[in-house]
Amino acid sequence: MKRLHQVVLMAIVFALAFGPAAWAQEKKGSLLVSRWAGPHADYQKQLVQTYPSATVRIDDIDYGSLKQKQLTSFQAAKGTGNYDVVWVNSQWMKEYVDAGYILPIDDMIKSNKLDTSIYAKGMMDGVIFNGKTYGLPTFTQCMILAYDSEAFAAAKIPVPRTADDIVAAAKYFKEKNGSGIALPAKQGGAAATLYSQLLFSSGGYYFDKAGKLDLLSAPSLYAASIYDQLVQYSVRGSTAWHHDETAEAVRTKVAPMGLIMSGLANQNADPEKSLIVNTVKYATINGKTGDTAANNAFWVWAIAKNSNDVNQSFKFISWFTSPAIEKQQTLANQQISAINSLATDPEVVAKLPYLSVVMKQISNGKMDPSLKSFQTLKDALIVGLSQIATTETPSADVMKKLQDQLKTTDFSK
Amino acid sequence: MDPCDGFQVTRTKENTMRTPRKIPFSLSLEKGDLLPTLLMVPAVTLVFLVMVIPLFYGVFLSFLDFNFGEFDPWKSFVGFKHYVRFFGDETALTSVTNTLLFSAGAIAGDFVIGTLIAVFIHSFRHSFARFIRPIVLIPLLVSPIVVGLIWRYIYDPQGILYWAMDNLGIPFEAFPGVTSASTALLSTIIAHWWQVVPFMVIVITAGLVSIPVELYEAAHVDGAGSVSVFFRITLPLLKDVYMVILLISGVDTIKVFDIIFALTGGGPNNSTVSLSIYAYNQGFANSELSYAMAIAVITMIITFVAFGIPFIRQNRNRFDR
Repeated sequence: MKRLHQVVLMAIVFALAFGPAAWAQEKKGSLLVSRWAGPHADYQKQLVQTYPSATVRIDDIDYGSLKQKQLTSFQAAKGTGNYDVVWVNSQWMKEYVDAGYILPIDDMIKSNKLDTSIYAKGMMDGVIFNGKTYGLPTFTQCMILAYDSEAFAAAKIPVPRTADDIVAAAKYFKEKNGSGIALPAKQGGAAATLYSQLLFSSGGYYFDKAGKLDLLSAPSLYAASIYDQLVQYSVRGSTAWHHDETAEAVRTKVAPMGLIMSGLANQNADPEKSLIVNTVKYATINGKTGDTAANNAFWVWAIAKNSNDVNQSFKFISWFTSPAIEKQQTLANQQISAINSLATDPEVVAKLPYLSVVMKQISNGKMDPSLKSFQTLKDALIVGLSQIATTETPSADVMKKLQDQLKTTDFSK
Repeated sequence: MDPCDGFQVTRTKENTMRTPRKIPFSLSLEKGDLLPTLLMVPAVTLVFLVMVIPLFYGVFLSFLDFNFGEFDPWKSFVGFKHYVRFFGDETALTSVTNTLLFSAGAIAGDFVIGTLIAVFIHSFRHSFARFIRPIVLIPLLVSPIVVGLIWRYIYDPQGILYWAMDNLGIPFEAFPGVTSASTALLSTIIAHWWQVVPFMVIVITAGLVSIPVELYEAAHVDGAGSVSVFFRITLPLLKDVYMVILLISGVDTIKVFDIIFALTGGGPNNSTVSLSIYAYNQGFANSELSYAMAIAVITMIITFVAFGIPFIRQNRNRFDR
């Protein structure tokens, strides 16, 4: 009997100790968030622990499988473990909006009095479809030129001002010591992004003024030719590299210069990973005349159509993209946010030596069109650029072939 | 119970022959056919639910313009549109060629290298063979996607392969690996061999063990050399084993995805894009799910024609014998 009393007493103590906490946890609610995996996700997992209004769990998976998993989650019924909040590539937004996978948030912006003018207009425009807002922008990146200033000084090469200068510098290093430039020339989206950036920086676009595909325009042929020459003077192996390998080649001094994704530039400052901590410098990737323009791409926090708690999801994404939290993230992992004021924040500028370069490119940047048919063009470009990089076929011939191949594609939708 | 139950038995002086006799289905639970039928129901239901229904659903989707979140078969029915599109799609046809080339190269290597290693190990003393066999089997334990990553680092121009080639005075251009369209497919096949040959070694070793030793002893007494013994005894008696390998390896290689995805992603210049890679890209990058399904159905048909039919014929001939 005495033993029974002891057990009952212990149960009461246990219930009093942990019951309220469990109840509070239950009452607090929980959110399931989808994003890609990596060091950036690891930091965000810690950060969301400080979110006061809900328990947030981040399901971070390999980037290659992210969209597939999100699409699957959108099919689930409410309350069956599906995502509440999804991190969406700006290029996927139109598709998600058209399919009704993500919710418009205008009503919640209004009721929560969120000032959306704090976000960069160019990026904010990219989340508005048919007059409705479908998410909050963050994490922008573009390709930039990273170079070892010591190697450039030793070679007495000035900072490249045009695309031709970049080719000339690459040629110099290739012929002098067999290195050259590092660039992502593997068959894939990275090569297409580089071509687009060269195209936009030279004043071109995929379509002419009438909206017809124009891969044979002077800027397009110039961009393809520069890409061809860059591959010719690239570090051995570039044709099998994506962004990660390219950035690694630069920071390990395999290449004295490289065209890297700005999101990976922070690793150049890490002494455990980088041999160019004190010598790395950054420059814009310019076009024929020295102008620069990024292929603007960013990520969007959006609310899934089958979210279990839409209001809580909105509160979370507005908290996560607020100036204070974005600054905290920028200082911790050098991500470039959509918050206008952070671009000139002295503390942020000191931490991100490449920020001015990125902002200059992004402010002049253009976005890929939000057309479903654009993927057809992108697929064709990816293969065409790979053909330029790995065969002797002249770049102009490849572009002509692509133009012919896509002549029947309807680019109006 | 009479072991000859269900057979009409004809006994002659020379031999004993059994001719099947048609017996009506008996509903008796204890002595009839009802119990075995009922016992099969769970297994058949499971197979039907997890294999047959998804298969037919997949084939059905290939006749629609299906999108996630929408399912209206009447509105989105497009008939054979995706199949017609496939045969006019240059990349799709390239993927068929690449897949067949990969399959042929991979199976040929599996046969030749697997046989050589199995025969080589089999020729050792039992204790040494027992030691060496598990070591050879290690790659089999590695997941295909990890195999792709391992070989990606091997093929990296700053990696071990090119370090060795540099030291041997062989120029990079002699074998540019995954960086060139001319050698990328071969590079993926080599990575496949590394992983799959150990499995072939197991299967072929099982075949070798089953060959009666007396045949080898008789051949040696007759003065046959090792090469002659290999081609006249070992290889012919491994024929059935090779048919099993052909089926397993054939189905496996036609569906190849992981190694290519990790090593080349289908490039350069689509030189390694396989049917599965192309279907995946269409389904998940381009959201063309029905087209992806049509590609998958065509892959299934190719697999059946290339490997299923020969296997069925082989089995039929075997039973006829």
